[in-house]
Amino acid sequence: MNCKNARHLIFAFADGQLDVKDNCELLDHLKMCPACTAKVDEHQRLRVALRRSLETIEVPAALAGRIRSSLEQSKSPPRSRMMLRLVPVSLVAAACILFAFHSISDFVADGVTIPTPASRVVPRGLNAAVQVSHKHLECGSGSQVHSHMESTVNPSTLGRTMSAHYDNRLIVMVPDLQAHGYFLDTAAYCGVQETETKQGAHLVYASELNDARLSFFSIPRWDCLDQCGHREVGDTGLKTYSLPQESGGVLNLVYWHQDATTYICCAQIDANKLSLMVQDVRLASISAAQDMALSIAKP
Amino acid sequence: MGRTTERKFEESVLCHLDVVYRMARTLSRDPNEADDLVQETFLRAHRAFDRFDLRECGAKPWLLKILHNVFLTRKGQSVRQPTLSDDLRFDEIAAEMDRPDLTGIDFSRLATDHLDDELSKALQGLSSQYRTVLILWALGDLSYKEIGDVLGIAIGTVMSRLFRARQVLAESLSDYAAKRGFGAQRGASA
Repeated sequence: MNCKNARHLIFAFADGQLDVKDNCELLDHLKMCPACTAKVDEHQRLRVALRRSLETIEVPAALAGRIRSSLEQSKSPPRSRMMLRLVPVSLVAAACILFAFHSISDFVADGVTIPTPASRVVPRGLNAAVQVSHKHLECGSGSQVHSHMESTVNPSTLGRTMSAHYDNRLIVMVPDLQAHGYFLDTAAYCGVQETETKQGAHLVYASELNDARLSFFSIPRWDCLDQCGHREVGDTGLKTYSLPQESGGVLNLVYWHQDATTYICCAQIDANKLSLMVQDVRLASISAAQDMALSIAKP
Repeated sequence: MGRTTERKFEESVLCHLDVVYRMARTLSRDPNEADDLVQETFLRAHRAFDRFDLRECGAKPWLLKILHNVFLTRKGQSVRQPTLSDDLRFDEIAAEMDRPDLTGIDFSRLATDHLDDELSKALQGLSSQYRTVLILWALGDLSYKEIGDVLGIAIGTVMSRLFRARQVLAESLSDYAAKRGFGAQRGASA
């Protein structure tokens, strides 16, 4: 790939819109081309700067309350049976037709489209999974991007410390995986993407023999992961996706969304085993997060 | 709506209030109107929530689409669906990207510079079609497909508008950038 071809794909690449093949080809080009790399960087910086500028718009503190009460008020009270009996049948039929018409037009006016399999966009979700994989490999191999936390930080208060870094807008979980043979190795604020738009905590765990790495991310909610072709793990709320690696082997992702946060665990561990491991630590983590959310909510 | 569904609505839809409000403020430029837009958006979302499948597409693009439709309806503009003639072919988009890049601004230095006001002004100076696509891109963190769905335009049109919007925005910022020494060299290409 030369610069001219690359230029057509650069913005789509920077926005995570390319399929895996184009993504890999462009990555190869970027490794050799500082000019195109600068273009990617510039595009992402603009996005971050714009986002930061838009985030200065303050949301009225009372707005959420006003919405909740207007939702409450919108719930219509049940009609009395007597009233219904008094309405002539022809009027009921006409009302049904009108209601059906209103429902359909309302459905369209609300912008709700009935999703069809053909309308699903796999590449972006797949790209999201690929980005998780890249970050896992990059940080697990001791990349400088993954700057380590101070060694003085107590692991038991690490989650709170990292959440405070994000003004408690993000609840960072630090699961204890020692019972599963993994020990917390490093922690950093590198999210998944290298831009500020995907903030979050990245914990790297090392296996007992120090021959394998496991990543645990707490990032701002990332629904597009749901488009990667994942499968649900029973009714646990967990989702899993398997991503073959260039070096051979399969990286398994297990993730779930919780309020405004997405938690992702990935490692080259059997999917079922990883799911059980995550399921195991999740309950404790949820309880800890709820405690933390409560303590944050209290003045 | 049952209690479980109410809880699900709270967890998966209301958590996007910040993004919806900021988008509403940028569209309407008036805090009171933005408040109304947001409340109507969530009311409509609440009414339609039973029929919405969160697994197929996230709540955020769905909410932003409702907001955009509410905004257009209030402005008396019709809500549109993409047409076949909308879609640009890849070679047309590629040809557009072959034009000289007017930006030339070292955005890598923006992160340390306080230019929120300048960016905000430049954004408000854009035509609504460019401004909206940039907001959805930067604030909404949406895919091109999702942006297309929200605005009722095709993916090629999203890419083209994004590219042009960047150019116009960069031109608006060029004086500011030049004054601070990380300015543009117009006509420079990558």
